[in-house]
Amino acid sequence: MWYKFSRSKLSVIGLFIVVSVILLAIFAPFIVPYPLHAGAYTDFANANQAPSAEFLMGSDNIGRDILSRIVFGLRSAITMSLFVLAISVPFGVFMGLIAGYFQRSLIDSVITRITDIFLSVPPLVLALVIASLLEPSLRNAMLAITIMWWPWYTRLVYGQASSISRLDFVRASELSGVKWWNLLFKEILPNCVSPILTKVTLDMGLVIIIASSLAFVGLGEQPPAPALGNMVADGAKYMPEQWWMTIFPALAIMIVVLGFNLLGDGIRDLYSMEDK
Amino acid sequence: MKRTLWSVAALIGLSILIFSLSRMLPGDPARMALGPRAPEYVVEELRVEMRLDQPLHIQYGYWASGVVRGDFGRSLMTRRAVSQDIRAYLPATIELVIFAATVQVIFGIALGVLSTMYNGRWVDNIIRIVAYLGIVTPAFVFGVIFLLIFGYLWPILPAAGRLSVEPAITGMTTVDSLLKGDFSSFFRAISHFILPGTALAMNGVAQLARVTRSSMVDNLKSDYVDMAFSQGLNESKIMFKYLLRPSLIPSVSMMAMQFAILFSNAFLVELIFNWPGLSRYGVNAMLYKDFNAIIAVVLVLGIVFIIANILADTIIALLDPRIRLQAGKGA
Amino acid sequence: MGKEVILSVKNLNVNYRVYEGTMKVIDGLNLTVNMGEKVGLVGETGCGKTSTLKSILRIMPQNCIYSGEIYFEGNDMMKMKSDKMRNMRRRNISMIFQDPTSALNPVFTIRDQLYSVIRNSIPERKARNKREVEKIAEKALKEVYLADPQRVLAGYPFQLSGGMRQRVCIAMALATNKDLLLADEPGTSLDVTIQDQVLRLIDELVAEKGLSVLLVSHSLGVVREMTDRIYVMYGGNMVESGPTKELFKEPLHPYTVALLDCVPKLTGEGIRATISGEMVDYLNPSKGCRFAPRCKKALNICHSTKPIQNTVGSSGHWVACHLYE
Repeated sequence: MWYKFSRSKLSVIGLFIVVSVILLAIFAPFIVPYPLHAGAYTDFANANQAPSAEFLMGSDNIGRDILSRIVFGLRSAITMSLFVLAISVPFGVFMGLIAGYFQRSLIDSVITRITDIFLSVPPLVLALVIASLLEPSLRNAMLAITIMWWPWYTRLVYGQASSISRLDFVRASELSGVKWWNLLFKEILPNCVSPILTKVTLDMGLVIIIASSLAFVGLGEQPPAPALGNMVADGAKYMPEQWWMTIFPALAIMIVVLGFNLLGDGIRDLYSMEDK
Repeated sequence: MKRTLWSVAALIGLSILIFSLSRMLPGDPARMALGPRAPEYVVEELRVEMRLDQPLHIQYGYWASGVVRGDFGRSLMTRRAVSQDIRAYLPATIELVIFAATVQVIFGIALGVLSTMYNGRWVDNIIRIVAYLGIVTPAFVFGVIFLLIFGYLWPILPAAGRLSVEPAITGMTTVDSLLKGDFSSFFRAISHFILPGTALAMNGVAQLARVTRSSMVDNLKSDYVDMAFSQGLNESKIMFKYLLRPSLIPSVSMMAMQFAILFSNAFLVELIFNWPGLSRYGVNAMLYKDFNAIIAVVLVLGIVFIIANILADTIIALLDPRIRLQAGKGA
Repeated sequence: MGKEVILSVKNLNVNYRVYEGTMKVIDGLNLTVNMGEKVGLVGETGCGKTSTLKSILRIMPQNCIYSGEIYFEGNDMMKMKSDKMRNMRRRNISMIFQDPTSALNPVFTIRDQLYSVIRNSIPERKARNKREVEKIAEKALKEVYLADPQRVLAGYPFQLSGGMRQRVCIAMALATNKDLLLADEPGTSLDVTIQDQVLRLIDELVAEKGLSVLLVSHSLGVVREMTDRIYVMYGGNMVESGPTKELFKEPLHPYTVALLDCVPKLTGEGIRATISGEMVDYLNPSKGCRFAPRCKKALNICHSTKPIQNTVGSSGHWVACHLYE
């Protein structure tokens, strides 16, 4: 398995990025040069410093170290993604399984119509709307993204589940008296694992994009907490002189998302190779 | 047809959802509208006027009957009718999105074809790397980077706002200037589109190039392409006719989704480039908790989404006779 | 033998670069087709039959490396420039693909696809005349017994039945005058009665137009009825060749013998045997005879040394097997 995976250099790079970002996130308080700068710290004497040995990525308009804030920003981005997916994936998958298994029943049409509602506007718009109805904060942004995220998994699993549950071996187990929940979790779910796993990995990056977009607009995590989207938005006000305030957080977002995308593609290739 | 009806139903469901959320959450909309210093009896009057004293479904009923007549209520932020605001801001967004979509189609498909033609060689590799970077970069990062480079460091293009053409006929600057036959303002109008439009389009260009490439490379291995070669057809005819047309089907269905994503990313890009469009209006409404405006913006985007899907279905049916002819027989 | 050779393949090697390494599929293959002759190429699925046909037309996928000499009427096609090669495909050689469903482009009408083939293979002055092209197309479709040519022309592949699609493919291959027809298991994907009709049709048209044929098949039964001479192929190597009648009367190579045992007999014995063992591992093929691992009569030498061709009798029958040295 690892041998096949490691044949693709890009997937290994992806895995390397993801692992290092996760390690950074876990040990953030111990690694960064100025852990205090992640909060409401001010040091006007050192404000607006260009990148130097003291501030590797420069400092912002109130003297906080950009590097330290980026690492903490990554930490909150990763936590957020994990939280969103940990709730929305099981829920969405379960809904998809049920709707796909009980095809053309009332449950099926109710679940399908509800997912239709959530999928009737572009994802970012819905997240923005829900986040704005609640008070803007990290917790509510997570909530908003979770609410709009699960229907995608329902739709993904629905197709798989409905085609598998029509296959003969499922019908045969039914006739021999196997209970439907056993069928759902022991026969149908395992057949959906590879697309789900691929999507989860790719979505880790996508949630980070959506979350930082919320923060960029001002509907996500609130200052002084370091959110990558916030930092880009703040920095944009001081362009072009203090370019480092914008460019480094932007690069950080790109690199994390790149990592998850490379890894996700690697996982997909792995499964499609095994199918052959 | 059936699908369109269901999407309209879904949109109604969405309006109920957002409407109830906005009314049930803590905070008194009437108090928020008037500010903390307004006397209590004035707030009470507004509450009655907004029908906040009545049950939720009755409130929704009044609101919905207004919407059917084209009345979305009054905006707390601009103090004007929301429908008036939408009429003022929507053209700018539509114009921007259409510009971006055009950029996407042209460059996305061209890069995909180029990548296939040089399959496995350095041109292909460079396009694939660039496309990958395009996919992982959020639209607002593109916006900020473009602003930094072309707005400040090498200011060759207008980086903020949009040309105003008076008098407005359609509200779209390019169309209006053409209608008046004023070509110099047409080109100036276009120049305002380049930065925000391209920043908005980048993501989709990358996605489209990737989808087009992978579908073309797949079909390149198909028997019908082999057969076309075995019959001695010209390589360019095979590439641009017999290979491209079946390969575009997945690209077009992706375009519908991309079109919707353009509208949502417009929320960020309009903010960056100070573009006076519906999305910037929407973001401000959200920050202001202007519920009537928020719901209206969402519904308008939902309708645009439905239209984009119908459009994509139509184009796919044109490309793929299997769908066109069977749909004619069936539903 | 004095007969004029139309196609001769000499020392053809075809390798595929794949994820796990290089697959050495075809290994030093030789083959000739005489003018007006019908030659069969028989072997099981995956032995490199289709690769042989595709390398004759040079329509191999990108991950394929091939070498050797392929002479068509005395010219080496391997050395031809691509525009000259394209003219060969247009005017001289046709190919019928295995699966008519995937060989026709799903989003273009039959008219579009058939016309572009015809326009390419007739003189330019004629090609510009629409009536002329239409006449040729209608004639070609009538030749394959498609009763209503106009309806077929206007339709898309998915609107035709499998048998009709196969007929369209044959019409495309034979619409204009060619010299050599390469047929890759025609009709295999159809049901047996239709397959039979298709083969009879090809036989009839080939006789009428005086074409030379290289017919690929996994079934000896099919080849027996249609060909003058047979090549038996195993794992990218030719193992035996001879006139059809003689090969059936006196098969020599253990693989040919086993193949014949697999053919159901009309005497009611049913199928007597199957060939046990696995397909050739093209990534690491054995140094000796590629059939040796599955051969019941294998000697020690079979695993280490490649057998040479041993001529048997005077009719051109030969076998590549150590048992006959």
